[in-house]
Amino acid sequence: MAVAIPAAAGSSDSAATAPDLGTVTSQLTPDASETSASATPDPSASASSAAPSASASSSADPAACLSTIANPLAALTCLSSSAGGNPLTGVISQITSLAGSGGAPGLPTAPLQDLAACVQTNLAAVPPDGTKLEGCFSTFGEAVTGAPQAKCLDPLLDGAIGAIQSLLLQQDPAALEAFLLGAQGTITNLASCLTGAATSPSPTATASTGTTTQSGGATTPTDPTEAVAVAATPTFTG
Amino acid sequence: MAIQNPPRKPAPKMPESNAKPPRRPQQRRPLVPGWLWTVIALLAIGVAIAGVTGGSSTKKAAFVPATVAVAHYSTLPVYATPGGAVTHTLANPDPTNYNQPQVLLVLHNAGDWLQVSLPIAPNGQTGWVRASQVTQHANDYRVDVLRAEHQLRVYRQNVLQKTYPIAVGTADTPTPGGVYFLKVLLQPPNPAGAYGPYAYGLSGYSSVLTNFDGGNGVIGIHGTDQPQVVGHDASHGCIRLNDADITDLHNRFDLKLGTPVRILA
Repeated sequence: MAVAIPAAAGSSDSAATAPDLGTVTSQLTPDASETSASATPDPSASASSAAPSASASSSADPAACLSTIANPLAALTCLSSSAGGNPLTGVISQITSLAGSGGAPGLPTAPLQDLAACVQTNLAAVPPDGTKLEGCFSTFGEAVTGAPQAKCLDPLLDGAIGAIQSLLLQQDPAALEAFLLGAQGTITNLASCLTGAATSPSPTATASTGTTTQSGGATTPTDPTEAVAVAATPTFTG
Repeated sequence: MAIQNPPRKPAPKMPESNAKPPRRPQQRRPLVPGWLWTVIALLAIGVAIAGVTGGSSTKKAAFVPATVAVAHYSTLPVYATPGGAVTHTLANPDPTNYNQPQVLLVLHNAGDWLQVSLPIAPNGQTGWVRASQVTQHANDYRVDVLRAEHQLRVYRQNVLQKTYPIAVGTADTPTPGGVYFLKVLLQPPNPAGAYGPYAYGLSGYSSVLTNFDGGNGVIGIHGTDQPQVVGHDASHGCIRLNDADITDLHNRFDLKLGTPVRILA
Protein backbone atom coordinates (compact mmCIF):
# COMPACT_ATOMS: atom_id res chain seq x y z
CA MET A 1 0.00 0.00 0.00
CA ALA A 2 1.36 3.36 -0.87
CA VAL A 3 -0.13 6.07 1.25
CA ALA A 4 1.33 9.51 1.24
CA ILE A 5 0.66 11.39 4.41
CA PRO A 6 -0.28 14.93 3.47
CA ALA A 7 1.28 17.87 5.15
CA ALA A 8 -0.51 19.38 8.04
CA ALA A 9 -1.58 22.96 8.08
CA GLY A 10 1.37 25.22 8.27
CA SER A 11 3.89 22.55 7.43
CA SER A 12 7.27 23.64 6.36
CA ASP A 13 9.43 22.33 3.60
CA SER A 14 12.49 23.08 5.60
CA ALA A 15 14.68 20.12 6.25
CA ALA A 16 14.64 19.00 9.84
CA THR A 17 17.12 17.06 11.82
CA ALA A 18 16.00 13.55 12.55
CA PRO A 19 14.59 13.49 16.05
CA ASP A 20 15.53 10.93 18.58
CA LEU A 21 12.66 8.54 19.21
CA GLY A 22 12.85 9.28 22.86
CA THR A 23 12.62 12.95 22.09
CA VAL A 24 9.50 12.36 20.13
CA THR A 25 8.11 10.44 23.04
CA SER A 26 8.84 13.17 25.48
CA GLN A 27 7.33 15.71 23.14
CA LEU A 28 4.14 13.79 23.11
CA THR A 29 3.73 13.50 26.79
CA PRO A 30 0.93 15.65 28.14
CA ASP A 31 3.22 17.64 30.36
CA ALA A 32 5.67 18.34 27.61
CA SER A 33 3.00 19.43 25.19
CA GLU A 34 1.41 21.67 27.76
CA THR A 35 4.66 23.45 28.10
CA SER A 36 4.77 24.22 24.40
CA ALA A 37 6.74 21.32 23.06
CA SER A 38 8.45 21.98 19.79
CA ALA A 39 7.45 19.56 17.08
CA THR A 40 10.58 20.27 15.14
CA PRO A 41 13.67 19.28 17.05
CA ASP A 42 16.00 21.58 15.18
CA PRO A 43 15.37 25.06 16.54
CA SER A 44 16.96 26.70 13.55
CA ALA A 45 14.64 24.88 11.19
CA SER A 46 11.55 26.22 12.82
CA ALA A 47 13.03 29.59 13.46
CA SER A 48 13.96 30.11 9.84
CA SER A 49 10.66 28.97 8.51
CA ALA A 50 8.07 31.48 7.44
CA ALA A 51 5.42 28.97 8.34
CA PRO A 52 3.45 29.32 11.55
CA SER A 53 5.12 28.32 14.75
CA ALA A 54 6.03 24.69 15.03
CA SER A 55 5.07 24.66 18.61
CA ALA A 56 2.10 22.59 19.50
CA SER A 57 0.27 22.70 22.72
CA SER A 58 -2.68 20.85 24.04
CA SER A 59 -5.77 22.88 23.63
CA ALA A 60 -9.38 22.56 24.48
CA ASP A 61 -10.03 23.29 20.82
CA PRO A 62 -8.42 20.58 18.66
CA ALA A 63 -8.95 22.60 15.51
CA ALA A 64 -7.10 25.57 16.94
CA CYS A 65 -4.36 23.29 18.15
CA LEU A 66 -4.05 21.67 14.74
CA SER A 67 -3.72 25.02 13.05
CA THR A 68 -0.55 25.78 14.98
CA ILE A 69 1.45 22.70 14.17
CA ALA A 70 4.15 22.33 11.59
CA ASN A 71 4.83 18.62 11.65
CA PRO A 72 1.97 16.16 11.02
CA LEU A 73 3.07 14.08 13.94
CA ALA A 74 2.80 17.07 16.18
CA ALA A 75 -0.89 16.97 15.44
CA LEU A 76 -0.98 14.07 17.81
CA THR A 77 -0.15 16.38 20.65
CA CYS A 78 -3.53 17.96 20.11
CA LEU A 79 -5.18 14.77 21.24
CA SER A 80 -5.72 13.27 24.59
CA SER A 81 -7.17 9.93 25.36
CA SER A 82 -10.23 9.44 27.46
CA ALA A 83 -8.00 8.20 30.22
CA GLY A 84 -6.02 11.42 30.14
CA GLY A 85 -2.59 11.69 28.60
CA ASN A 86 -1.74 11.27 24.98
CA PRO A 87 -2.42 7.75 23.72
CA LEU A 88 0.55 7.87 21.38
CA THR A 89 2.86 8.07 24.31
CA GLY A 90 2.14 4.50 25.20
CA VAL A 91 2.61 3.33 21.64
CA ILE A 92 5.93 5.04 21.19
CA SER A 93 7.06 3.73 24.54
CA GLN A 94 6.18 0.21 23.48
CA ILE A 95 8.19 0.51 20.27
CA THR A 96 11.09 1.99 22.15
CA SER A 97 10.89 -0.82 24.65
CA LEU A 98 10.81 -3.42 21.90
CA ALA A 99 13.83 -1.82 20.31
CA GLY A 100 15.71 -2.24 23.53
CA SER A 101 17.83 -5.26 24.06
CA GLY A 102 15.64 -6.86 26.65
CA GLY A 103 12.27 -5.54 25.58
CA ALA A 104 11.17 -8.10 23.06
CA PRO A 105 11.34 -11.69 24.25
CA GLY A 106 11.52 -14.09 21.37
CA LEU A 107 12.48 -11.49 18.83
CA PRO A 108 15.93 -10.68 17.45
CA THR A 109 17.05 -7.26 18.51
CA ALA A 110 18.71 -6.06 15.32
CA PRO A 111 15.56 -5.81 13.16
CA LEU A 112 13.82 -3.90 15.91
CA GLN A 113 16.71 -1.47 16.16
CA ASP A 114 16.68 -1.08 12.40
CA LEU A 115 12.96 -0.48 12.53
CA ALA A 116 13.31 2.17 15.19
CA ALA A 117 16.08 3.91 13.27
CA CYS A 118 14.15 3.75 10.01
CA VAL A 119 10.99 5.10 11.58
CA GLN A 120 12.69 7.93 13.40
CA THR A 121 14.53 8.94 10.24
CA ASN A 122 11.42 9.02 8.14
CA LEU A 123 9.32 10.63 10.79
CA ALA A 124 11.64 13.59 10.61
CA ALA A 125 10.74 14.36 7.01
CA VAL A 126 8.38 17.25 6.58
CA PRO A 127 5.91 15.96 5.76
CA PRO A 128 6.65 12.31 6.55
CA ASP A 129 6.40 10.01 3.55
CA GLY A 130 3.88 7.31 4.28
CA THR A 131 5.37 5.03 1.65
CA LYS A 132 8.79 5.17 3.23
CA LEU A 133 7.33 4.57 6.67
CA GLU A 134 5.54 1.56 5.33
CA GLY A 135 8.85 0.43 3.88
CA CYS A 136 10.33 0.46 7.39
CA PHE A 137 7.72 -1.99 8.58
CA SER A 138 7.93 -4.10 5.43
CA THR A 139 11.64 -4.50 5.86
CA PHE A 140 11.19 -5.32 9.51
CA GLY A 141 8.50 -7.87 8.78
CA GLU A 142 10.58 -9.50 6.11
CA ALA A 143 13.59 -9.68 8.39
CA VAL A 144 11.65 -11.28 11.20
CA THR A 145 9.17 -13.49 9.42
CA GLY A 146 10.53 -13.85 5.94
CA ALA A 147 7.34 -12.36 4.56
CA PRO A 148 6.80 -8.68 3.90
CA GLN A 149 3.65 -7.06 5.18
CA ALA A 150 3.30 -9.74 7.77
CA LYS A 151 -0.06 -10.22 9.35
CA CYS A 152 1.15 -8.90 12.65
CA LEU A 153 2.26 -5.61 11.20
CA ASP A 154 -0.33 -4.81 8.57
CA PRO A 155 -3.06 -3.77 10.95
CA LEU A 156 -0.68 -1.64 12.91
CA LEU A 157 0.63 0.09 9.86
CA ASP A 158 -2.64 0.43 8.02
CA GLY A 159 -4.43 1.56 11.09
CA ALA A 160 -1.81 4.16 11.93
CA ILE A 161 -1.59 5.61 8.47
CA GLY A 162 -5.33 5.51 7.96
CA ALA A 163 -6.00 7.15 11.27
CA ILE A 164 -3.44 9.88 10.68
CA GLN A 165 -4.93 10.47 7.26
CA SER A 166 -8.33 10.78 8.83
CA LEU A 167 -6.99 13.25 11.32
CA LEU A 168 -5.19 15.41 8.82
CA LEU A 169 -7.73 15.33 6.03
CA GLN A 170 -10.90 15.42 8.06
CA GLN A 171 -9.54 16.80 11.32
CA ASP A 172 -11.34 13.96 13.02
CA PRO A 173 -9.30 12.48 15.88
CA ALA A 174 -11.84 9.76 16.67
CA ALA A 175 -10.34 7.20 14.30
CA LEU A 176 -6.86 7.82 15.58
CA GLU A 177 -7.86 7.58 19.19
CA ALA A 178 -9.72 4.35 18.54
CA PHE A 179 -6.75 2.95 16.69
CA LEU A 180 -4.22 3.96 19.26
CA LEU A 181 -6.18 2.56 22.14
CA GLY A 182 -6.37 -0.77 20.33
CA ALA A 183 -2.85 -0.54 19.00
CA GLN A 184 -1.29 -0.66 22.43
CA GLY A 185 -2.65 -4.14 22.82
CA THR A 186 -1.53 -5.07 19.33
CA ILE A 187 2.00 -3.93 20.03
CA THR A 188 2.05 -5.69 23.35
CA ASN A 189 1.22 -8.89 21.54
CA LEU A 190 3.60 -8.21 18.69
CA ALA A 191 6.35 -10.47 19.89
CA SER A 192 4.11 -13.49 20.35
CA CYS A 193 2.38 -12.80 17.06
CA LEU A 194 5.60 -12.62 15.10
CA THR A 195 6.99 -15.74 16.72
CA GLY A 196 3.85 -17.69 15.94
CA ALA A 197 2.72 -17.96 19.51
CA ALA A 198 -0.57 -16.32 18.73
CA THR A 199 -3.46 -18.69 19.20
CA SER A 200 -5.75 -16.95 16.78
CA PRO A 201 -6.52 -18.77 13.53
CA SER A 202 -4.81 -18.02 10.28
CA PRO A 203 -6.27 -14.93 8.69
CA THR A 204 -6.53 -16.65 5.35
CA ALA A 205 -8.24 -19.73 6.67
CA THR A 206 -11.78 -20.28 5.48
CA ALA A 207 -13.96 -21.96 8.01
CA SER A 208 -17.31 -23.44 7.22
CA THR A 209 -20.08 -22.24 9.43
CA GLY A 210 -23.77 -22.68 9.22
CA THR A 211 -23.36 -26.24 8.13
CA THR A 212 -24.41 -27.64 11.47
CA THR A 213 -28.02 -26.73 11.29
CA GLN A 214 -29.67 -28.45 14.18
CA SER A 215 -29.80 -26.85 17.55
CA GLY A 216 -27.57 -28.65 19.92
CA GLY A 217 -25.47 -29.86 17.04
CA ALA A 218 -21.74 -29.78 17.03
CA THR A 219 -20.35 -26.30 16.99
CA THR A 220 -16.89 -24.96 17.15
CA PRO A 221 -16.39 -23.07 20.37
CA THR A 222 -13.94 -20.74 18.73
CA ASP A 223 -16.23 -19.94 15.82
CA PRO A 224 -16.45 -16.15 16.00
CA THR A 225 -19.66 -16.12 13.98
CA GLU A 226 -21.46 -18.24 16.53
CA ALA A 227 -24.44 -16.16 17.64
CA VAL A 228 -24.12 -16.35 21.39
CA ALA A 229 -27.16 -14.74 22.95
CA VAL A 230 -26.35 -11.62 24.90
CA ALA A 231 -28.61 -10.89 27.83
CA ALA A 232 -29.60 -7.31 27.14
CA THR A 233 -32.58 -5.17 26.38
CA PRO A 234 -32.64 -4.36 22.68
CA THR A 235 -32.76 -0.80 21.46
CA PHE A 236 -33.87 -1.70 17.96
CA THR A 237 -36.60 0.27 16.24
CA GLY A 238 -39.19 -2.24 17.35
CA MET B 1 -22.66 -10.80 -4.70
CA ALA B 2 -21.61 -13.87 -2.94
CA ILE B 3 -25.05 -14.98 -1.95
CA GLN B 4 -26.30 -15.04 -5.48
CA ASN B 5 -25.86 -18.01 -7.65
CA PRO B 6 -24.01 -17.71 -10.90
CA PRO B 7 -26.32 -17.38 -13.88
CA ARG B 8 -27.71 -20.60 -15.17
CA LYS B 9 -26.13 -22.03 -18.17
CA PRO B 10 -28.35 -21.13 -21.11
CA ALA B 11 -30.17 -23.96 -22.74
CA PRO B 12 -28.67 -25.11 -25.96
CA LYS B 13 -29.96 -23.17 -28.87
CA MET B 14 -32.39 -25.19 -30.81
CA PRO B 15 -32.27 -25.00 -34.58
CA GLU B 16 -35.45 -24.06 -36.27
CA SER B 17 -37.49 -27.14 -36.67
CA ASN B 18 -38.52 -26.22 -40.14
CA ALA B 19 -35.03 -25.54 -41.33
CA LYS B 20 -34.41 -26.79 -44.75
CA PRO B 21 -31.49 -26.81 -47.10
CA PRO B 22 -30.99 -23.39 -48.60
CA ARG B 23 -32.40 -22.92 -51.97
CA ARG B 24 -29.89 -22.63 -54.67
CA PRO B 25 -30.27 -20.75 -57.86
CA GLN B 26 -29.55 -23.92 -59.64
CA GLN B 27 -30.94 -27.32 -58.91
CA ARG B 28 -28.06 -28.93 -57.13
CA ARG B 29 -28.01 -31.81 -54.71
CA PRO B 30 -28.17 -30.43 -51.11
CA LEU B 31 -25.08 -30.90 -48.96
CA VAL B 32 -27.20 -32.17 -46.04
CA PRO B 33 -30.08 -34.43 -46.84
CA GLY B 34 -33.52 -33.46 -45.58
CA TRP B 35 -33.86 -36.46 -43.30
CA LEU B 36 -30.67 -35.54 -41.51
CA TRP B 37 -32.07 -32.09 -40.66
CA THR B 38 -35.05 -33.78 -39.10
CA VAL B 39 -32.82 -35.94 -36.93
CA ILE B 40 -30.79 -32.93 -35.83
CA ALA B 41 -33.96 -31.04 -34.94
CA LEU B 42 -35.28 -33.93 -32.86
CA LEU B 43 -32.00 -34.23 -31.02
CA ALA B 44 -32.01 -30.53 -30.27
CA ILE B 45 -35.55 -30.71 -28.95
CA GLY B 46 -34.51 -33.56 -26.71
CA VAL B 47 -31.56 -31.61 -25.34
CA ALA B 48 -33.76 -28.61 -24.66
CA ILE B 49 -36.34 -30.69 -22.82
CA ALA B 50 -33.64 -32.30 -20.72
CA GLY B 51 -32.36 -28.88 -19.82
CA VAL B 52 -35.75 -27.68 -18.63
CA THR B 53 -36.43 -30.80 -16.62
CA GLY B 54 -33.00 -30.87 -15.04
CA GLY B 55 -31.72 -33.75 -17.07
CA SER B 56 -28.17 -34.82 -16.84
CA SER B 57 -27.17 -33.09 -20.02
CA THR B 58 -27.44 -29.68 -18.35
CA LYS B 59 -25.44 -28.99 -15.21
CA LYS B 60 -27.40 -27.57 -12.29
CA ALA B 61 -26.06 -24.27 -10.98
CA ALA B 62 -23.83 -24.92 -7.98
CA PHE B 63 -24.76 -23.38 -4.63
CA VAL B 64 -22.39 -20.65 -3.57
CA PRO B 65 -22.43 -19.99 0.18
CA ALA B 66 -22.21 -16.49 1.51
CA THR B 67 -18.84 -15.45 2.84
CA VAL B 68 -18.62 -13.73 6.19
CA ALA B 69 -15.49 -11.80 7.15
CA VAL B 70 -14.56 -11.50 10.80
CA ALA B 71 -12.01 -8.90 11.86
CA HIS B 72 -8.84 -10.55 13.05
CA TYR B 73 -7.38 -7.69 15.03
CA SER B 74 -8.50 -4.98 17.39
CA THR B 75 -9.09 -2.55 14.56
CA LEU B 76 -10.05 -3.06 10.94
CA PRO B 77 -9.30 -0.33 8.41
CA VAL B 78 -11.85 -0.03 5.60
CA TYR B 79 -10.70 1.37 2.30
CA ALA B 80 -12.62 3.18 -0.41
CA THR B 81 -10.88 1.05 -3.02
CA PRO B 82 -8.24 -1.67 -2.79
CA GLY B 83 -5.18 0.19 -1.60
CA GLY B 84 -7.01 3.51 -1.60
CA ALA B 85 -7.90 5.90 1.17
CA VAL B 86 -9.10 4.63 4.51
CA THR B 87 -12.72 5.63 5.01
CA HIS B 88 -13.47 3.92 8.31
CA THR B 89 -11.63 2.17 11.10
CA LEU B 90 -13.87 -0.41 12.70
CA ALA B 91 -13.31 -1.54 16.26
CA ASN B 92 -13.17 -5.24 17.08
CA PRO B 93 -14.98 -6.22 19.16
CA ASP B 94 -17.53 -3.55 18.42
CA PRO B 95 -18.43 -1.51 21.53
CA THR B 96 -21.45 -0.10 19.70
CA ASN B 97 -22.80 -3.58 19.04
CA TYR B 98 -22.81 -5.27 22.43
CA ASN B 99 -19.09 -6.02 22.08
CA GLN B 100 -19.74 -8.52 19.33
CA PRO B 101 -17.00 -9.51 16.88
CA GLN B 102 -16.76 -7.16 13.94
CA VAL B 103 -18.51 -9.24 11.31
CA LEU B 104 -18.98 -8.16 7.71
CA LEU B 105 -20.74 -9.69 4.74
CA VAL B 106 -18.43 -10.18 1.79
CA LEU B 107 -19.84 -8.92 -1.48
CA HIS B 108 -16.86 -9.60 -3.72
CA ASN B 109 -13.64 -11.51 -3.33
CA ALA B 110 -10.76 -10.00 -5.24
CA GLY B 111 -8.04 -12.16 -3.74
CA ASP B 112 -6.03 -9.97 -1.41
CA TRP B 113 -8.99 -7.64 -1.01
CA LEU B 114 -12.60 -8.17 -0.08
CA GLN B 115 -15.47 -5.85 -0.82
CA VAL B 116 -17.78 -5.86 2.16
CA SER B 117 -21.13 -4.51 3.19
CA LEU B 118 -20.70 -2.06 6.04
CA PRO B 119 -23.00 -2.06 9.07
CA ILE B 120 -23.21 1.69 9.23
CA ALA B 121 -25.84 4.27 8.40
CA PRO B 122 -27.02 5.22 5.89
CA ASN B 123 -27.75 1.81 4.45
CA GLY B 124 -25.98 0.42 1.43
CA GLN B 125 -22.43 1.52 2.17
CA THR B 126 -19.62 -0.74 1.10
CA GLY B 127 -15.87 -0.73 1.41
CA TRP B 128 -12.79 -2.87 0.96
CA VAL B 129 -10.75 -4.68 3.58
CA ARG B 130 -7.53 -6.61 3.34
CA ALA B 131 -8.13 -10.34 3.24
CA SER B 132 -5.13 -10.74 5.53
CA GLN B 133 -6.91 -8.88 8.29
CA VAL B 134 -10.01 -11.03 8.50
CA THR B 135 -10.97 -14.63 8.75
CA GLN B 136 -13.47 -15.85 6.19
CA HIS B 137 -16.35 -18.13 7.03
CA ALA B 138 -18.81 -19.77 4.70
CA ASN B 139 -22.48 -19.51 5.59
CA ASP B 140 -25.09 -21.72 3.99
CA TYR B 141 -28.07 -19.79 5.27
CA ARG B 142 -30.06 -16.89 3.94
CA VAL B 143 -33.09 -15.10 5.33
CA ASP B 144 -35.57 -13.42 3.01
CA VAL B 145 -38.09 -10.91 4.30
CA LEU B 146 -41.03 -10.46 1.96
CA ARG B 147 -42.67 -7.27 3.10
CA ALA B 148 -45.76 -7.38 0.92
CA GLU B 149 -46.47 -10.99 1.81
CA HIS B 150 -45.54 -10.46 5.46
CA GLN B 151 -43.35 -13.52 5.43
CA LEU B 152 -39.87 -14.39 6.66
CA ARG B 153 -38.31 -17.30 4.83
CA VAL B 154 -35.24 -19.22 5.86
CA TYR B 155 -33.15 -20.87 3.17
CA ARG B 156 -30.28 -23.25 3.47
CA GLN B 157 -28.24 -23.82 0.36
CA ASN B 158 -30.97 -22.07 -1.57
CA VAL B 159 -33.57 -24.56 -0.35
CA LEU B 160 -36.53 -23.14 1.56
CA GLN B 161 -36.55 -24.47 5.11
CA LYS B 162 -39.30 -22.57 6.85
CA THR B 163 -41.72 -19.68 6.41
CA TYR B 164 -42.89 -17.49 9.29
CA PRO B 165 -45.57 -14.79 9.31
CA ILE B 166 -44.30 -11.37 10.29
CA ALA B 167 -45.21 -7.76 10.84
CA VAL B 168 -43.17 -5.09 9.08
CA GLY B 169 -42.95 -1.32 9.20
CA THR B 170 -45.75 1.07 8.51
CA ALA B 171 -45.76 3.51 5.62
CA ASP B 172 -44.38 6.19 7.93
CA THR B 173 -41.71 4.00 9.43
CA PRO B 174 -40.99 1.46 6.72
CA THR B 175 -38.76 -1.55 6.95
CA PRO B 176 -35.90 -0.60 4.63
CA GLY B 177 -35.27 -2.82 1.63
CA GLY B 178 -31.82 -4.09 0.84
CA VAL B 179 -29.30 -6.74 1.72
CA TYR B 180 -28.15 -6.82 5.32
CA PHE B 181 -26.75 -9.37 7.74
CA LEU B 182 -27.17 -10.51 11.32
CA LYS B 183 -24.94 -8.59 13.72
CA VAL B 184 -26.02 -9.71 17.15
CA LEU B 185 -28.38 -12.00 19.00
CA LEU B 186 -29.97 -10.64 22.15
CA GLN B 187 -31.97 -12.34 24.84
CA PRO B 188 -34.14 -9.69 26.48
CA PRO B 189 -34.50 -10.00 30.25
CA ASN B 190 -38.27 -9.98 29.87
CA PRO B 191 -39.17 -12.66 27.33
CA ALA B 192 -42.79 -11.55 27.38
CA GLY B 193 -41.91 -7.95 26.59
CA ALA B 194 -42.06 -5.92 23.41
CA TYR B 195 -39.09 -7.72 21.86
CA GLY B 196 -40.07 -11.21 22.85
CA PRO B 197 -37.62 -13.89 23.95
CA TYR B 198 -35.01 -13.30 21.21
CA ALA B 199 -33.97 -10.36 19.08
CA TYR B 200 -31.51 -10.37 16.20
CA GLY B 201 -29.88 -7.07 15.33
CA LEU B 202 -29.27 -6.38 11.66
CA SER B 203 -26.66 -4.31 9.89
CA GLY B 204 -29.37 -2.04 8.51
CA TYR B 205 -30.95 1.09 9.91
CA SER B 206 -34.31 2.76 9.71
CA SER B 207 -34.43 5.31 6.95
CA VAL B 208 -36.51 7.68 9.08
CA LEU B 209 -35.73 6.97 12.73
CA THR B 210 -32.23 7.87 13.82
CA ASN B 211 -33.05 7.55 17.48
CA PHE B 212 -35.38 5.06 19.04
CA ASP B 213 -35.61 3.81 22.58
CA GLY B 214 -32.05 4.82 23.30
CA GLY B 215 -30.74 3.20 20.13
CA ASN B 216 -29.70 4.58 16.79
CA GLY B 217 -32.40 3.08 14.61
CA VAL B 218 -31.00 -0.42 14.08
CA ILE B 219 -33.45 -2.78 12.44
CA GLY B 220 -34.11 -6.03 14.25
CA ILE B 221 -35.87 -9.34 13.91
CA HIS B 222 -37.60 -10.17 17.17
CA GLY B 223 -40.70 -11.38 18.95
CA THR B 224 -43.61 -9.27 20.04
CA ASP B 225 -46.11 -8.80 22.81
CA GLN B 226 -48.68 -7.79 20.23
CA PRO B 227 -49.31 -10.98 18.27
CA GLN B 228 -52.37 -9.45 16.66
CA VAL B 229 -50.20 -7.21 14.47
CA VAL B 230 -48.37 -10.09 12.82
CA GLY B 231 -49.39 -10.17 9.19
CA HIS B 232 -49.72 -6.39 9.00
CA ASP B 233 -47.70 -3.22 8.50
CA ALA B 234 -47.43 -2.23 12.12
CA SER B 235 -43.85 -1.84 13.32
CA HIS B 236 -41.39 1.04 13.47
CA GLY B 237 -39.22 -0.74 10.95
CA CYS B 238 -38.33 -3.94 12.73
CA ILE B 239 -39.52 -7.37 11.70
CA ARG B 240 -41.76 -8.85 14.35
CA LEU B 241 -42.54 -12.54 14.70
CA ASN B 242 -44.78 -14.34 17.11
CA ASP B 243 -42.83 -15.30 20.20
CA ALA B 244 -43.18 -18.98 19.42
CA ASP B 245 -41.83 -18.37 15.93
CA ILE B 246 -38.80 -16.32 16.97
CA THR B 247 -38.02 -19.07 19.46
CA ASP B 248 -38.38 -21.66 16.74
CA LEU B 249 -36.18 -19.61 14.42
CA HIS B 250 -33.52 -19.46 17.08
CA ASN B 251 -33.70 -23.07 18.15
CA ARG B 252 -34.18 -24.67 14.78
CA PHE B 253 -31.58 -22.92 12.67
CA ASP B 254 -28.85 -21.61 14.94
CA LEU B 255 -28.23 -18.74 12.56
CA LYS B 256 -24.72 -17.34 12.68
CA LEU B 257 -23.57 -13.76 12.77
CA GLY B 258 -23.16 -12.57 9.23
CA THR B 259 -26.10 -14.56 7.89
CA PRO B 260 -27.43 -12.56 4.91
CA VAL B 261 -30.87 -11.04 5.30
CA ARG B 262 -32.55 -9.80 2.15
CA ILE B 263 -35.43 -7.42 2.73
CA LEU B 264 -37.49 -7.59 -0.43
CA ALA B 265 -40.60 -5.86 -1.66
